[in-house]
Amino acid sequence: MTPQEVLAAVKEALERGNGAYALSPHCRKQMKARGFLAGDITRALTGATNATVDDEIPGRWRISGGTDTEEEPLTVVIEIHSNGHIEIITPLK
Amino acid sequence: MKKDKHGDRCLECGGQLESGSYTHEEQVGRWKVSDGTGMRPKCTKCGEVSLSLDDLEAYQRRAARTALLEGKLEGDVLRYARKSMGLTQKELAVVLGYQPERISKWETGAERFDQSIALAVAGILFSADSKKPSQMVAEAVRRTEEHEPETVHTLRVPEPRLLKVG
Repeated sequence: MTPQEVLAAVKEALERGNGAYALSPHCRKQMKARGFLAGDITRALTGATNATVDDEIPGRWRISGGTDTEEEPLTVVIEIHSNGHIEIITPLK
Repeated sequence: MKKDKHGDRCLECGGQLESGSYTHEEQVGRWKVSDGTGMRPKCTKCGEVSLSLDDLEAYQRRAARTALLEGKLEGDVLRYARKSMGLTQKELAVVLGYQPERISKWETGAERFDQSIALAVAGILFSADSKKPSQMVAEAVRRTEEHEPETVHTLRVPEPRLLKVG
């Protein structure tokens, strides 16, 4: 997938809702530890402008350019599964 | 692209998911809010529950609403409520019709907010279940504009006259 395709898939999944984004237990722990709520992740993904591939882990992307509810930049690391579902790996400041 | 079929397997350990009872708990400020017990996909191996971003958003909005309706008029609760809706301080200010500085003061505890604000935010949380935050802000801006017409209407007060009595 190209970065443009990934970004389009991210936005499309946000529109679709209905469980399109899966949260790993690890991600939920990270969010709690860093004080992020689901609204921060949704907001960051909604405002995202860039997708960069993670060279180390196949299928993993960094979605950046968006901001959280404190108006600070927030990058979200995701993995796209073969069935189109997107897994949120972790939020990154 | 990963070949794992999300939805059938646990994201933590890859174990099989089966429906199981689950009670979600959220820390709202210094309050722990328990959601009603329901059935959710649960890993038979590690016991972790499968949650989507939508699920977590819904749990967090309900927790915020519960805390506000229970009268927990604290800055941390208001901040949690705002964040659960994905709104910035500026956006919540637009929706409520206050200055952003006021929201900041409420959240930091520099100023107290009253029950009417808690009820208003709880109401927005109800709306947020069916509307996107950006939609709510756009509607609030439109309402504000409707109440502030560009034309100014002037009322003429009649000239005072002395009347003879008797």
